[in-house]
Amino acid sequence: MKLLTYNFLTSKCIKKVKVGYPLKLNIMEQKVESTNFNPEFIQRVLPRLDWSAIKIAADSVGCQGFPDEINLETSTNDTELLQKLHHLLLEIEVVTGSLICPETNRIFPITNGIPNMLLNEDEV
Amino acid sequence: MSKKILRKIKGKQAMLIADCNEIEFSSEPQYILGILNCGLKNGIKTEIIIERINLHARLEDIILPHNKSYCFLKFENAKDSEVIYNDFLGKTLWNECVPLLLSYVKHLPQINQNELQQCPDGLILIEDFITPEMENKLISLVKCDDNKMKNRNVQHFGYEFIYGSNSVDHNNPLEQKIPSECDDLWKLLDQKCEALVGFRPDQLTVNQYQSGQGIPSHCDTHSIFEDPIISLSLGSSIVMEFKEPISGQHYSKFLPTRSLLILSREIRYKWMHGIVPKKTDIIKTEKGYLTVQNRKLRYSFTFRKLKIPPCCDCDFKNLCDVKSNERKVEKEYSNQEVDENVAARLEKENVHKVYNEIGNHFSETRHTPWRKVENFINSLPEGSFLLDVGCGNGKYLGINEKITKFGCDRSDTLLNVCTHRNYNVFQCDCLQIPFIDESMDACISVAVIHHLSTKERRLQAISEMIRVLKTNGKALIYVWAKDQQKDNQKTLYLLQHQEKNSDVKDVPEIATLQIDENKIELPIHRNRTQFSHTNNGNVLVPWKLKQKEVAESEQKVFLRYYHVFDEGELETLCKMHERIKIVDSYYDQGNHCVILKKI
Repeated sequence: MKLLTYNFLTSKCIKKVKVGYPLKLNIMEQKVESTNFNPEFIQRVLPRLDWSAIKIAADSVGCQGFPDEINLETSTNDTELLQKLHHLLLEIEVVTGSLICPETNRIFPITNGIPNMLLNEDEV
Repeated sequence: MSKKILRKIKGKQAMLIADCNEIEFSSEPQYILGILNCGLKNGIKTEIIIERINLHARLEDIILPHNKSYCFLKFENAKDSEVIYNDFLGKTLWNECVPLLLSYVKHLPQINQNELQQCPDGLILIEDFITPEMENKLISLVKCDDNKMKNRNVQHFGYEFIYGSNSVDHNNPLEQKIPSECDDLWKLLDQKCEALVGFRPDQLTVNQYQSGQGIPSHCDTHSIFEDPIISLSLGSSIVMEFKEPISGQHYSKFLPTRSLLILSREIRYKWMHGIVPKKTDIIKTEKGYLTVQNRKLRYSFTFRKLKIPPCCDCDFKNLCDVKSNERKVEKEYSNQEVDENVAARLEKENVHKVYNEIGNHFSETRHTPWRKVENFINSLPEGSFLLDVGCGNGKYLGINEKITKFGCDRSDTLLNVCTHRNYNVFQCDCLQIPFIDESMDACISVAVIHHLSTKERRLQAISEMIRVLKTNGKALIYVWAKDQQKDNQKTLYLLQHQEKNSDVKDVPEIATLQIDENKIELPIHRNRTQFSHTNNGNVLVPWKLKQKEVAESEQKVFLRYYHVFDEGELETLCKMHERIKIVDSYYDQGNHCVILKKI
């Protein structure tokens, strides 16, 4: 699972969960595969990111230097930040770990890089 | 009469007036008497009624409207009717909770009993075809051995009738020919039935029916026997039921002992016949009133003549084995939506588990993207975010480098294929997409929603896609169409006739699935044919799993559940959502397709 995917994942489909976002992230195994940095792509992605999730992701993988708040106007020209985001969102692959619902602590396992977001019949 | 009963009668009368136009009740005795709270729908015991009536009066007819909880007794005169009215009113004859509610009927409108009044074409009954001596002689020929069937004993002469395939092997005649004692029958036939002079059958099936046994409704295989089929009833009389599956029409025929039944033309090819397993029959006496007759041990001698080679050029496609590819079988399925409580389990067993099992083989067969889906993905503006709901092996996740794509699916096996291809995927059910609201510019769902077994679930799958779409975002939905031919053009699916190694030739027509305590019956589709079943589009489609180490005959067949869509059905489902506009809808290679926009 790339952390770009993590930015969109929620547990709100569980019955009685109101927001279900951002999910807690627990990484057991990760790998890094470098890809070409495309600043325009990251610039376009910026408005789609939820900074609370990005902070959790950065903390979990041990990436330093992410500001507490994001200012879209200044960040879009902050090449250093864009590069960091590129690395965080597109180069890191979570192989094993789990996602945890912030409201119910329901655990969604990640195995072979695939988060299992399936719910049981009684959870929906 | 108690006030309570009277009040109930008034209530039922009002219901009947609303239900069948022009019915007129009367407080004076009339020759028609209505039982207002018992009928076919709630399990009327007609035998009990008739036996009880026959103690005091003469019943000419009992009119049982189809699927109603009321019925009408027709007497010779109002006096008999009055006797029964006084005897029955408020009595409980079989169910302590149901006291009979009665009313005289002055005028009874035409009632749809689905019962054909005149004899169907081709049915001939010759009563007293043989003498009681001949009857005894024939019965003594039949020694019922161990060849026990589920419901009755059976013996074959000339050729064996094979029940599994409803056929005979004409290259393999039995040593035991039709007994010579039957030769006298053909002389009688020549004398008594002009149309059948010279008819000499070569196959005989003898059935022994204990009282209470019957035979399921069937039509003798068209291609293997000549027209007609003839059958002698010996030892006991019985009522045979005939049914025409297309119109649902019904006809009963009383077969007295020693009578010869001849089934030819329509009744042979277009109708089905059977015997209800019960111990009594309701019959009309010579004097014209109804009575209950006990069944005794009965033998039927059914004579047929083989058609060699097997063939059929009848005009009645519906029940014809030869024209099975074209026929439209109206089966007696529940013809209802799948029950909501069963739906999730059905999909688990007959969709999710199957895709996990066949996933790798399935994936090998899914490599070419459909052109119009590809066009949709390529038409998305640069920088768009796309979610493929039910991405399978990810064959659409590699298209258009200028957009960001995510895929989700239920199947582990197929998702593993995706991760090997380096695609962004996660596992979920399309009924609960774990993505935040208003986050995607586009969604596609290709050949997914047709695996959901209720309308509610299909609606919810569409809702979920709409939820994750941004305003002005677009979704493309593909579902399998019931109609695999458009404008007389057969789809590729039909044209690739029996070429796919996943196809299965020999499957039964119906599967009974055990889902928890529930049994559900679903028709099984024959690969590469038109969908011929009318079961609300709910069918099982076989997939033969190709495994290298496994012999052809041993290869496992999986049944996938599908709801195949009628024309317009997908659009109707989409339109039930607010905030959408249908941008385009079209038919593409056997699929109904919609492009919608969130507004």
